[in-house]
Amino acid sequence: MSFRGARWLVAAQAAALLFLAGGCGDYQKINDRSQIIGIGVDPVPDKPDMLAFTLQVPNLEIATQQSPGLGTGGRQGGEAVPYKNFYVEATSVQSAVSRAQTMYDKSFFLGNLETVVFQTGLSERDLTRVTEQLMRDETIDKLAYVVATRDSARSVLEARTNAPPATTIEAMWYNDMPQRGYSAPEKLWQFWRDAELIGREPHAPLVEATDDSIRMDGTELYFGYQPVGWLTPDDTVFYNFLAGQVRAISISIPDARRTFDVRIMRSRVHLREVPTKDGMVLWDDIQVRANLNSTETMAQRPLTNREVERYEDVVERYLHDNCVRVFRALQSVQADAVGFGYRYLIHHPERIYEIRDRWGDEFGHARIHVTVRCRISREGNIL
Amino acid sequence: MNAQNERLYNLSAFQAIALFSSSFLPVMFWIYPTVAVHYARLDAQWALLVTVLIGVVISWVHGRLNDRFPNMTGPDFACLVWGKWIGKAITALYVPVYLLFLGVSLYFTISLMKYFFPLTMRMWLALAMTVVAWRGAWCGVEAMGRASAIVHPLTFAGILASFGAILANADQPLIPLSFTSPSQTASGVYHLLPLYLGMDLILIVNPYYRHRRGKSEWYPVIATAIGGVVVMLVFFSIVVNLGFTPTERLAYPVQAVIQLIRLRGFLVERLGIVIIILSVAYTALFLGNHIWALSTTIARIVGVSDHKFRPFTLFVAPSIFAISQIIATTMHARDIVTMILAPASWVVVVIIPVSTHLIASIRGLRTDTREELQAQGRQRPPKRRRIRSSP
Repeated sequence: MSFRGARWLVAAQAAALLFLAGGCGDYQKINDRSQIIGIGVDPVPDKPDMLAFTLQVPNLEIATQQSPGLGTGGRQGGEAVPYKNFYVEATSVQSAVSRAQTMYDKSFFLGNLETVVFQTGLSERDLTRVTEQLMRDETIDKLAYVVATRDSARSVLEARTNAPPATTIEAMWYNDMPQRGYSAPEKLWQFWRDAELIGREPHAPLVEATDDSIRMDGTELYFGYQPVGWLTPDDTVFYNFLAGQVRAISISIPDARRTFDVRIMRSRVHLREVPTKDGMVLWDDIQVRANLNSTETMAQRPLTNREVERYEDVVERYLHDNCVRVFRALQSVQADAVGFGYRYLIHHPERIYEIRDRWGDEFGHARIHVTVRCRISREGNIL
Repeated sequence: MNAQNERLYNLSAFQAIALFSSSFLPVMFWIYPTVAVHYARLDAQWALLVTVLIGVVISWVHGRLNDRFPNMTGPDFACLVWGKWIGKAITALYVPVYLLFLGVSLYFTISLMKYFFPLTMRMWLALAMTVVAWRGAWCGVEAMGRASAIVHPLTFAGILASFGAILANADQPLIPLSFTSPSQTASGVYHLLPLYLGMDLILIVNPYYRHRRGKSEWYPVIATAIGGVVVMLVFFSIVVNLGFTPTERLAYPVQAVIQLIRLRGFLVERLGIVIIILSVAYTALFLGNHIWALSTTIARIVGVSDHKFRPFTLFVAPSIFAISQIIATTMHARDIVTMILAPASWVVVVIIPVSTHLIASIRGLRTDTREELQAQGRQRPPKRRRIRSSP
């Protein structure tokens, strides 16, 4: 019994030692730290090795300065924005952060990175280099979103939005946005993975700064790290159909001179790739489940079964035509953003070197079969 | 040998399985998907599967060997089978291999801890782990068995839950089902066997668990199968998320992939830190097991009773610490694994135990005539019977 008591005493003493290991030795006040939430990368025209970085941190002091009633805030609104940007020319992300540190009194850290903005004019070499640096750094959050812009990354991160632009961009997807389809988000690690993966190419949403917001402007397509083309916002919808990524979006379907509206609840996709003598044949079977939002008859009478079937046919034809068009656009730049090549590699691992060297070409010249099956499951309540 | 009877049933079946199961994996756990994809390309999962099967078969051989000589440690029956001096020489071969193996394992673990403690020197991290492990080893195998029975199920559950979640998160779960190249697969298997280096601990624990015909030979097999489940699950959750070619580019794929999931509303937002905590506990346990095992082996080589292992821990633990400090870079550690530990593990895990077993069966050597190994044994006291029925 005394032995057991002694053992408890030792355990209690050992546990008391933990009080000394509170881990507060390198304690930093939260006010002394500053998260970098956005990184923008632009090319520098004359210096090929240099990149222009825009580093964004939230400006937390602005809230106290502007608080009404206290009378401390002299200026009302005006120039105040909820973020600070640092503009640095450097050869790497890390050296840019180090240089920016000389301009600010709070220590930067990158664990809460939200958005990375790439200018589309970045060369393949620069983009490879920056992506590698971002992936290599252990402290950077790999779940940040990657976006591309045709203006400059600086202008996007300078947009006059209510929240910092980096946060605004991340919020478009982070909160499981219901309208999944008008944009094709890609996280930093997915961008890196798709660029490195054999038989699948990365993409990034295109954004543009407007007067007081940030607007989606389609999708930038890459071949490896090389920007090769882009899709319009409307085409992005059909790209998402091809990839089976559409969730809960409403689209209007033109039918001769009239239109009706459906709400696509969910799209699934079944991909197949069949090698033949004349090259690859790529099958993309799209299945769509939709609700009817509005009809052509303006709800004057209940829908018959036959009409619903006709609507289904119209949706199928419309989606088919447009998906084929977008597929051809992907083929024209050889950017396999859906990942047919990777699937083919998984099913034929013995052809790895052939696929690695020649997939872009094979994909560009493949024959395609797109089929769409639509089922309208609900016609609504009123009629 | 005089203490034989009192030490016989120190480990329950569950403790024995947990102890065996926590005595391998760490040396390659953080890097093996990269190694598998590097050598076996798209046959990596076949190479892993073959490695796991080899591990299971070899662990069964270890179990058989133990049941053949139930009352003596590994070095003793090596001397019995091979003759005194060859047996001692063979056993002595284990010592440098295992010292290097433990040093490299410690190096990989502190490299990962360094990421969470960027301001702490490697030396202090390694020292802390070595001291904890050494203290555990000092208490002997019974204490390590009890600790294993707690830590190992926790680690196993943690890995199943987190990597299961990562696997379910994948956006295109594609795994190749066709088989390409036997030579690539063989190369992969050759380089992946260090996953099961550490299994020889089973031989030294031999007299400390209860041997029963038809049952105790399966303890190592169950332990290895648990390891195999972990190996396959972690590998699949990595390749379905990252794909095969990018996995090859990563130095620490396991660590990279656990950063990629963020469970909202979960107790901890990043699972990574949980896995690191579990892996630190696991590695400390693993080091403790092996410090005990290696000290006991050295004790038997120099002819001291296996209860007098404690002075030898004072050589083993500092050596492990020193080796972990000498290794400079990850590539250096990986080179040690591929150049030295891969061939060495074929020798110490596969060739030596299998040939020991073969020679023992050819020469008809066995010491398993004790009552509990006989199918129809004599009347046993009821107390033992109750122990038997525990899991």
